[in-house]
Amino acid sequence: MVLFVIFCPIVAAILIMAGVPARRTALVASVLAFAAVLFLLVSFEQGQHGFRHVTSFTISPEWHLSFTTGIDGLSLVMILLATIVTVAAVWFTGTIERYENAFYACLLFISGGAIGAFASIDLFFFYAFHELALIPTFLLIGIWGSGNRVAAAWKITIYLAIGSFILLLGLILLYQSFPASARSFDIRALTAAASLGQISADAQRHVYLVLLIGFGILISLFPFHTWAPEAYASAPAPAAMLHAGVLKKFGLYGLLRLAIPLLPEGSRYWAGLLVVLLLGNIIYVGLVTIAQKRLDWMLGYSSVMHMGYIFLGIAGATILATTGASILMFAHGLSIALLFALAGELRKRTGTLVFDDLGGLGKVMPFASLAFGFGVFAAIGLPGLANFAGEIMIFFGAFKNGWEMDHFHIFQIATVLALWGVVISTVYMLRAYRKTFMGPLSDRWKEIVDLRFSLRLPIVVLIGALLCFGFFPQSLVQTVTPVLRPYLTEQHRPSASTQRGGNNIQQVAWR
Amino acid sequence: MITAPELEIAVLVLGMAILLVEAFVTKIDKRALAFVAIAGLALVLAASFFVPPNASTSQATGFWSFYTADRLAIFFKQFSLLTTIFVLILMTDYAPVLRRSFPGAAPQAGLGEFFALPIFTCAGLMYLVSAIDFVFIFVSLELVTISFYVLVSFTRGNPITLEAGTKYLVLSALSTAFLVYGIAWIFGVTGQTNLQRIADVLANPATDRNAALFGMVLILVALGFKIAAVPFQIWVPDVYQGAPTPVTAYLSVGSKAAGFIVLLRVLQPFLALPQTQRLIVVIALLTLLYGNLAALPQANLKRLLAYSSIAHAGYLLIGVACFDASAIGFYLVAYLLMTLLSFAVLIIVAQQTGEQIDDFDGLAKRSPFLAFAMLIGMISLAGVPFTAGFLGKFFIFYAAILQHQTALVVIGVITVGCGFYYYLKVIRAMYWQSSAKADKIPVNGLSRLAISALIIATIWLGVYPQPILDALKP
Amino acid sequence: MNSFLPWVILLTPLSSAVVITLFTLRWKAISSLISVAAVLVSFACSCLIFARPGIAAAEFTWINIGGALRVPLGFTLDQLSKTMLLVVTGVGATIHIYSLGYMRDDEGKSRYFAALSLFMFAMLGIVLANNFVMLFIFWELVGFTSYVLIGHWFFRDAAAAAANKAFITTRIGDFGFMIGILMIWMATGSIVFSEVTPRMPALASHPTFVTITALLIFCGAVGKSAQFPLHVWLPDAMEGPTPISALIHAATMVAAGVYMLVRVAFVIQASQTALLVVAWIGTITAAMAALIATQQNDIKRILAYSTLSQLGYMVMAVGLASNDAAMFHLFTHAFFKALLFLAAGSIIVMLHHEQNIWKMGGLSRRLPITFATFAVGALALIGCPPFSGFFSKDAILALAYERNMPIFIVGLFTAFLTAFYVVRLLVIVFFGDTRSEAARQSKESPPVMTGPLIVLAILAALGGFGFFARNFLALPIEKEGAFVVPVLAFGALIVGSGLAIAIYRNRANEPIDIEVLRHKFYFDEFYARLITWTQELLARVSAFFDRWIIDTGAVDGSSRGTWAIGALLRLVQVGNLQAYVFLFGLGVIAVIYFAVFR
Repeated sequence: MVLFVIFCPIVAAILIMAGVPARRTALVASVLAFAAVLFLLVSFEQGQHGFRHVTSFTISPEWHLSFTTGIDGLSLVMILLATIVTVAAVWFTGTIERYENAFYACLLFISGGAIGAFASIDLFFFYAFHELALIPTFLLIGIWGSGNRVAAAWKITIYLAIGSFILLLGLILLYQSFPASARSFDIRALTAAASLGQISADAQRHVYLVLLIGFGILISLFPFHTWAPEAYASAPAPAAMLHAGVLKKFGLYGLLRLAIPLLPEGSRYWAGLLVVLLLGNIIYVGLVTIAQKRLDWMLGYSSVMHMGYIFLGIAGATILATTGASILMFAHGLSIALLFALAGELRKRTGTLVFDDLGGLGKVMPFASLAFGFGVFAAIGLPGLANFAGEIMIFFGAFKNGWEMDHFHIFQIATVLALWGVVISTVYMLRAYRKTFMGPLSDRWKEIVDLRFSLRLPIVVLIGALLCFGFFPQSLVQTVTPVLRPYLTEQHRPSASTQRGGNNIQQVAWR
Repeated sequence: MITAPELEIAVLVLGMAILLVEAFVTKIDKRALAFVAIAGLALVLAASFFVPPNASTSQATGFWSFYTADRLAIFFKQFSLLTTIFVLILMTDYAPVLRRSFPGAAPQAGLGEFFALPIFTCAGLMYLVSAIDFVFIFVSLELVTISFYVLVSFTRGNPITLEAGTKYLVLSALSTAFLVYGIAWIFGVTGQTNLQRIADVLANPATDRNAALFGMVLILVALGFKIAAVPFQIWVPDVYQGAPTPVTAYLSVGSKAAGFIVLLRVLQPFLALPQTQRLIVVIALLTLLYGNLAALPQANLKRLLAYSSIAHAGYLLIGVACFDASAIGFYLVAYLLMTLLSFAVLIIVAQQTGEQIDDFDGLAKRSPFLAFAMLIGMISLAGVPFTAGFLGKFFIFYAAILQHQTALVVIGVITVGCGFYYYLKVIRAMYWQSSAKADKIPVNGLSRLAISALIIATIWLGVYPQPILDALKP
Repeated sequence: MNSFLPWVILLTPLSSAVVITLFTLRWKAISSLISVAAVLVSFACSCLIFARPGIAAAEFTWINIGGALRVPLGFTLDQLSKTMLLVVTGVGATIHIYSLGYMRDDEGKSRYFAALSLFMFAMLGIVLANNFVMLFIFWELVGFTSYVLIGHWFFRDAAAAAANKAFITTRIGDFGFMIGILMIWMATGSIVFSEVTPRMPALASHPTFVTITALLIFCGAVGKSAQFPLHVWLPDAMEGPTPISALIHAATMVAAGVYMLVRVAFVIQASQTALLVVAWIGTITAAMAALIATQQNDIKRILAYSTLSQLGYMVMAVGLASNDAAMFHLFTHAFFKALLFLAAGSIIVMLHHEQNIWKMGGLSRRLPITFATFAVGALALIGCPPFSGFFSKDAILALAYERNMPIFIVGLFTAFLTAFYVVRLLVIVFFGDTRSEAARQSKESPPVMTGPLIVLAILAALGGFGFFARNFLALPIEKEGAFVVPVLAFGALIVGSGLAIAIYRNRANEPIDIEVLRHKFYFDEFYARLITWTQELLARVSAFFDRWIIDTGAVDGSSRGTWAIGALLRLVQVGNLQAYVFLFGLGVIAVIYFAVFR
C-alpha cells in the first residue's frame, strides 16, 4: 500500500515522459495516491508506537542497506500533506504551452520524491528520494519560471545540492558513529542501538551539528535562507506549492525523525545555537518580510519566517513542542500552498505582484480574496485554522523547557520573542492583504475575472483541510504523539553538559 | 578450462586478424571489421567470466612472478574489454568524420587500423592490470601508450589533432622516462622488480627509505600523467579536445582506469612510508580543485569533459589516499558508464551541430532520447542519487570520513557543488534554451542500443550496486 | 438535552455563518433572515438557561496530550456568564433586527450578516469559556470578526486602514495576554479556571511573579477594551457600519475585556500592585477619553470616546476589586451605549451619511422618536437619576470614594466632562436651527429601526433599578455615609450640562478650540512616528542587509569568486608545448621536494 503511494506519482511521471496524455494521467495518479493515503489514515490504529505496512528489499547485506518503507503516525501525516498538496498543485496547473508533459512529470517527481522520503525507513533512500526533486525543481523554475528565473534556478539548485551533500556527510557520520557491529541504514535498528547508548555523547554533538547545517540549508534556516524567497518568487505556482509546502518539510521531518531519537545529547548541546538561529528566522526574517514590496517575495520570506516556529518546536524538545511542530508542518504546508496558488493566479491575471500596482481586487475577485484571506489568517495563527493549534502547542511546549519559577531561561525568552513574531507576521500579512484586495480598485483591473469553478475546487480542498484540522487537531495529535513520546522522556533528566556546569541553554525540560 | 593469460592472447590474435584483413582485403565494407571486433571482444568478455581467479604469491617464479590473475585483475580485464567494446561502437558512429578528415583519400582508407588499434590497447590494458612486476608494468604500459600515440593523432589531416598528437607524444614520452628512472632507483635500492619482494625488502629497516621514496615519487609522476592528476594534468584539455572523440573517451576511461590499478599495486609496498599518504592527499586536493574550478567557465563540451575527467581523477585519488580498492573500483565502473554515455551523445550531436555547449540548445525538442541520455549522464557525473555516479561518490566519501580525512571531505563537498554547476549547464542548454534548428537528429540502431544499455546500467547500479560490490570483494 | 443547550446557543450562529458563506451569498434577503433567526434562537436558549438553574454542559476535548497539556472546550455557567449571555444575545438580537433596515441596500449584505453571526459565535464563546486557551481562541475570533466588519466597506481606504489598525493593536495586547496564560499554566499546571483558582494561593510566595502575570493578562484587556495606551484603534473603528459600532465597539466586544478581567479576577486580585495599576489605567483612560470627546465634531467619534471613557470606569471598578460594580456598569452601558449608537445611526442614515454634528441641528422636530430615545440614552450616559447609568456609575464612584481618593476625584471630574460633552452633543444636534440641506429634508426612520431603539430605550431607562437589575446581577452594596457621592456626582452633572448649554446654545460653529484635545493628545501622530522610526527602519535595514550583505555579498560573492578562480586556472593552458614541458618539470620538482625533502 505504501509502495503504491510512493510509486503512483513516479510511475505516472515516467509514463508522462513516455508521452501519455499529461494532465489526465497526473490527476488520476495524484488522486489515487491521495485516496490510498486516506485509506491508510482510516485503517491506522491510533496510539501505538512503531512502523506499520513495512516492506523491505535487501540491497546490500554487508552495508545493512535495504529499500525499506513503512509508515508511523508522523510519516503518515506528512504523506497526507504531500498527497493533498500534490492533488491541489496538479489540479491547479492547467494547460502549459511549452513541454506540457515535462511540466507534469517534474511535478510528479517532486511529489513522489517527497512521499518516498517520508515513507523511507532506510536512511539511504530517505536521502535519495529527497534528491529526486532537485533536477525537476531546476527545470520547473528554469523553463516555466517568471521574473529573474535563471538566477533563481541556479541559486536554489546549487545551494540545495551543497546542502544535501553536507547532509549526506552527516548521515554517513551518523552511520559510522555506531560501533561496526551496530551499523545499519535502518532507522529502527539505529534507534534501538541508540537507546542502548551505543552512540557516544561526543559523536552525537558532531553528528548533530553537521545534520543541523545540512538540514538547515534545505529548510532555509537563518542564515542559509536566501535561496528560498527568490526561488519561490520566480517559480511557477504549482512548483512553489509543492516545494514550499511539502519538500521543505523534509528537513524538519528529518530532524524530528533522527535528531530527537538518536541524538538527544546532541540536540540538547546545540539547542542554544539552534534557538539563536531560529530567532533569526522569526524576528530578523520577519522584519525583512515587512519591508517587501512584492506579494511573491513577501510570501517567500514569510514561509522562511514560519520555519522558525517549527524549529522552535523541535528545539523545545518536549512532547508538546514536537507534536506542535509536526502539526504546524502540516498546517503550514497547506496554508503556504494555498497562498502561492492564489498568488500565481493573480500574476496570471494582472502580470504584476508589486503592491503599489495592485489594490481593491476584492471587488472583482471576491472568491480569490476570501480564499486568500483564509490563507493570510492561517499564516498569522487565527484559531479555527490548523496553524493555530500547532503554534500554540509549540509555545506551550517550548515555554516549558527549562522552566523555573524565579527566572526565565533561553527557551522562555525565545518563546516570548516568537510570540512577538506573531505580531510581526500580522503586520506584514494584513498589510499585504490590504494592499492587494482592499482599498479603491484602479481602472486597470476593472476587467479582471474571478477564479473559474474548476480552479476553485483545489482551493476549497486546501481550506477545508485547514479548517477541519483547525477545529479537530486532536485527530492529528493522537496520530503523531506516540511516535516521539518514548524518546522525549529522556529530556527530563539533566544532561551531562549541565552537570559539567554548562549554561542554562542546556537546561532540561521541567516536569 | 580457460586461464587468464589466454584472454589477452585471444585479444591479440583478434587484433592481428583484423590488421591482416585490413591490409590484404580491400573489397569489403570496413565497418564489418568493427562489428567483427566487437563480436570477438564480446566473446572474450563472456569467456572471462569463467576464469578462476588465482593470485600469485611472492614465491611464484617464471611467468607468474610478474603476472597475477587475482579478482581485481580479472575484474579490470572485463572492465577494459567492456570499455573497448563501447569505444568501438562509438568509432563506428565516428567513421563518417574520419572520412571527411582525409580529403582525396579512398573512402574508407585506414578505417581498419582505426578499429584494430583499440584492440591492441585493450590487450595492453589487460596485461597492465595483471602486472605485478615493474618490468612487465613498463612493457604493457608502453603497449597501451604507443597504440594511443597513433589513435590520438589519427585524423592527422586536422591540424588541431596533429598538435594534440604531438603534445601527447612528447609529454607521454617524458613521463615514461620518469617511470624508467624511478624503476631504476627502486631496483637500485631493493635489487628487486617484483612488487611483493620489494615490499618485503622495504619492510626491513636496513633499506634506504628516502632513496626508495624518491623512486616511488618518480613512478608516481608517470602514473600521475596517465591518470591526469595535478600537476601532471597539463596535457589533458588540449589532447582530449584535439583527439578524435572516441579516442578521447577511451583515453579518459581506459588508460585512467589502468593507471589507477597500477597505482594501487605500486603504492602497496610503500604504504609503510608515512610520506606516501600525505603526498597522495595533497595531490588529490590539488586535482579536485583544479579539475572542478577550471571546468566552471568552459563553453566547449569536449573540453569540459576533459576537465571533468581531471575532477573525477581527484575523487578517485581520495579513494587512493584512503586505499579503498573497492570504492575506487566501483567509482571507475560508474565513471565508465557515465563518461561513455556522455561521449556517445556528444559524438552523435557534434556531427549535426558542434561541440560547444550551446550547440546542444533545444536538444530536448530535436531528440528527446539523446537529451534524456545526456541528462542521465550529466546528473550521474554530478552525483545525483539513483545514479551510479552518486554511489561512487558515496563510497569514496564514506572511506574518507572513516579515515577522518577532513580536508579531503570539505574540499570534496565544495567541488561537488561546482560540479553541479557545470554539468547542469548542459542540461540547461538542452531543456531551457530553444534552438534555431528544429530537425530531428538520427540515431542508428547499434548506438541507440548501446546508449539505452548505458542508461539502464547507470540507473541500475545507482539503485542496486551489489553485483559490483561482490565482484570487488578482496 | 439540557447539557446540549449551551452548545445550541454557541453553534447556531456559527452554522448560520457557515450556511450563508457556503450557499446563500447571492440571496441577500435570505442570508439576513437566516442570521436574524440564528440570533433569536440563541437568545431564546439563553433565556431558557437563565430560567433553569443547574444546567451543566457536555465538554469537548480540543487538544489532549496525556500528561503535558489538556485543552477542553467546556462551559462555565454561573450567574455572571448567564447574565452576559442575556446581554449579548439580547442586544445582539435588537441590533440584528436594526441592521435589516440599516443595511437594506448594501451590496455586501450577505457578507455583513455572515460576519455578524460569526461574531455572535465568537462573543458567546468568550462568555462561556471555562479555560484560558478557549477564552483566547474566541478572543482572537472576535478580533477577526471585528476586523472583517470594520473593513466591511473595504474599498474605502479609511475603512481598510482602520480594520488593520484595530486587529494589529489588539494583537499587541494579546501578545502579553498569551505570555500571561503561559506563565499561569507553568505555575499552576492547568489552564482551566476551576482548577487554577484553588492553586493560586500557593503562588503567594512569588509576589512579583503573580504581579507580572496579572499585568500580562491585563494587557489582553487593554488591547481589547481599548484602554490607554492601546485605545487608538477604537475611534478609527467607527469607519464600520453603525450597527457594528453599536454591537461590537460599544456593547459587547470591547466590554469583553472587562468581562475577562472579572472572569479571571482570581489572578488579578492576587496582587495589590496589579490592582492599583489596573485601576489607574482605567482612570486615565476615562479622563483622557472624556477630555478628547469635548472637542470632536463627528457624532460617532464622540460616542466612541465616551465608550472609551465608560470602559475606563469599568476597568477602574475592576482595579478597585469590585467585580459587581464593574459588571453592573458594563450591563447598563451595554444598553444605553447601543441605544445611542443606533439612534445616531438612524440620524446618519436619514442625513445621507452625514456625520458632522455641525451639519445637523434642530433634528428634535424632524426625528421625534430618534430624539426621544437618544435623549434617554444620553441621560443614562451622564448618570442622571433615575436612569440606569446613574446607579451603576454612582456605585463605582462610591467604591472609589471609600478605597482611593485620588481616583475618586478624577472620576468625578470625568463625570463632569461626560455631562459636558453629551449635553453639547444634544444641544448641537437636536436644537438650534438646522444647518444643512440634508438635515432639512430628513424624516423619521422606518419602524424596523425605531423598534429596537424603543426597546433599548426602555432597558436603558429601567436597567439600573434594583428590582430590575438584582435579578441579573449581584449588585454592589451601597454603604451608608456614602451619600456624599451621589450628591457630588449630581453636582458635577448639573455643572457640566449647564456649562454646555450656556456655551453651545444656538451656535453654528465651535466657539472654543483646544488644539491638543482636537488632535487627541497626538497619540496617532506619536505612534506613527514610533513605528516609522523603530519597526519600519529596522525592517528596511534588515531587508538591505539580507539582500546585499548575505545574499549578494556572501552567497553570490562566493559563487562568483569560485568562478573567477576557475577562469584564472584556465590561463595555465597556454597551449604551447615548451611551456607544458616546463610546467611538467616544475610539477615534478615540487612533488619530489614535498615528498622527499619535507
